Amino acid sequence: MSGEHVWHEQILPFMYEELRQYFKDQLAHETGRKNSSSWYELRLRVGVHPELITDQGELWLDECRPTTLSDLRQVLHYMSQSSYYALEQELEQAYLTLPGGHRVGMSGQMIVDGGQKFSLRHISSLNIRVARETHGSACPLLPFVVVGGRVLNTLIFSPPAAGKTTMIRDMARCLAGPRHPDERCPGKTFRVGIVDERSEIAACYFGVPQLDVGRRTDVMDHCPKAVGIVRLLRSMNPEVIITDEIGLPEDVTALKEILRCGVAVITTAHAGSLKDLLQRPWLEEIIRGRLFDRFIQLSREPKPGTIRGIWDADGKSLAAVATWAG
Amino acid sequence: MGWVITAKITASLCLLGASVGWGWTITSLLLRRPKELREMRTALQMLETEISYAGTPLPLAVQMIKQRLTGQTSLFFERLESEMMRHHLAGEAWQRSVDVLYPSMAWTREDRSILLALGPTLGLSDKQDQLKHLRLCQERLAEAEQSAAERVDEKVRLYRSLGLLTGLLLVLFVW
Repeated sequence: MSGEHVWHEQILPFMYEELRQYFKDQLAHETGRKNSSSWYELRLRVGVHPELITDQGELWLDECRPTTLSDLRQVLHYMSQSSYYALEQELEQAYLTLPGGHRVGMSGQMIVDGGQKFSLRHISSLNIRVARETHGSACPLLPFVVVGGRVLNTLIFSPPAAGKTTMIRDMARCLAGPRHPDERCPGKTFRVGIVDERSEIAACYFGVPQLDVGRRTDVMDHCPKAVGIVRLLRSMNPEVIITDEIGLPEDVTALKEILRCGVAVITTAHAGSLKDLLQRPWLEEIIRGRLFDRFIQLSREPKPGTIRGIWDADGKSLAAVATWAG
Repeated sequence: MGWVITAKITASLCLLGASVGWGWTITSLLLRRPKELREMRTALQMLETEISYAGTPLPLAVQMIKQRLTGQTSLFFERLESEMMRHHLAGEAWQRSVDVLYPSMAWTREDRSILLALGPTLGLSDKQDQLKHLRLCQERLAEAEQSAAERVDEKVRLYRSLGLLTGLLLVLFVW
């Protein structure tokens, strides 16, 4: 789908009238149509002009009036299909997913109920991030991850915003076989299970993946990792389980359980280097326990998705390259 | 002379038919009202269940309720569904559907205002608040239904007899 279509069909229907009209006017011009694929974030804040983030940098939409509280409410009503009550879980986590996999971050006044339950009440900012899939970014990694027809337990690490989630999404797509017939190639595919706690990998909308995570993939959406991993293992009999950002003790316990069940695991963690990774509590235990066969470091320089290095379970470097995988 | 008698008989039959028909129309409206109010209450109960247990978004909930209903009230939910599909906010769609369907339903002005009061809150708050508003509307509809049922008992025979008697009176005038 072209950038123009994405904006027309999947983003603008949720906007308030004036902003919708502004973008329609922009997209009516040749330049706007061409640039639309580089618009990847739209930020709406009460009392401030809308801000459009593009590949070239920030763009303040001064031609539009500053966003009002009632504009934001209108946007939220469209996004919730006029059913604010249906967003309870989303308001607790401060983000929601739109059809097409676009993510909307929210901030404002957080209400704490009994010190346990959090929920956003008065929303003052919205951040609409356009979903962009990078097909093929995991291809250079496959020979290191799939060895002898078997998927190896892999931990991908990097600082934030270096493309870990994009990488594991494409990894799922490659391992399970792309959904689109034109992208398929001969070769073994696997039953993949994704535990997507924050709906970032498959970007599910009412439980249905909006991004291509492969045709043999089953997704457990909005589910805590520790719970989802065990449930998925019991219910869907996956050969590979993919999940994002492990770090909590219960995640590690669940991982240890499935790593001993013969199911391969591909996961990610925040760390600047292999040394940092070893210093993270809980992770050190599974790394030193040689539960992972491959460690892959990504970098956001020069571009997110750059493979910085690949190591085996003994810490031996298999490839120390700076290749952009996109 | 023959044609005068024929005309008088025809006029009498027409007048009698019309007034009996009027009596029956009024009573059928009286009979329909508690039924339609009951149907609407059932529909709101279904909506309450959808919201409280599944958190189903309104467009989907309305579609499901429409399929489960029969009778006039299903027309209301059909209209509501199409109004929501036309990109109206739920409250706006609710209000428009009440206004459009009002002439063809047996609702009184009071019933209409009970239903309209639900519109501005629909979908705009959290689960608990939505349930509160839905329950309040159901309670008010139940009260209206009870008074409508009492009215049926009192008035049905009256309007039917009144229709017949008015017809007979008019026939007397003709002759």
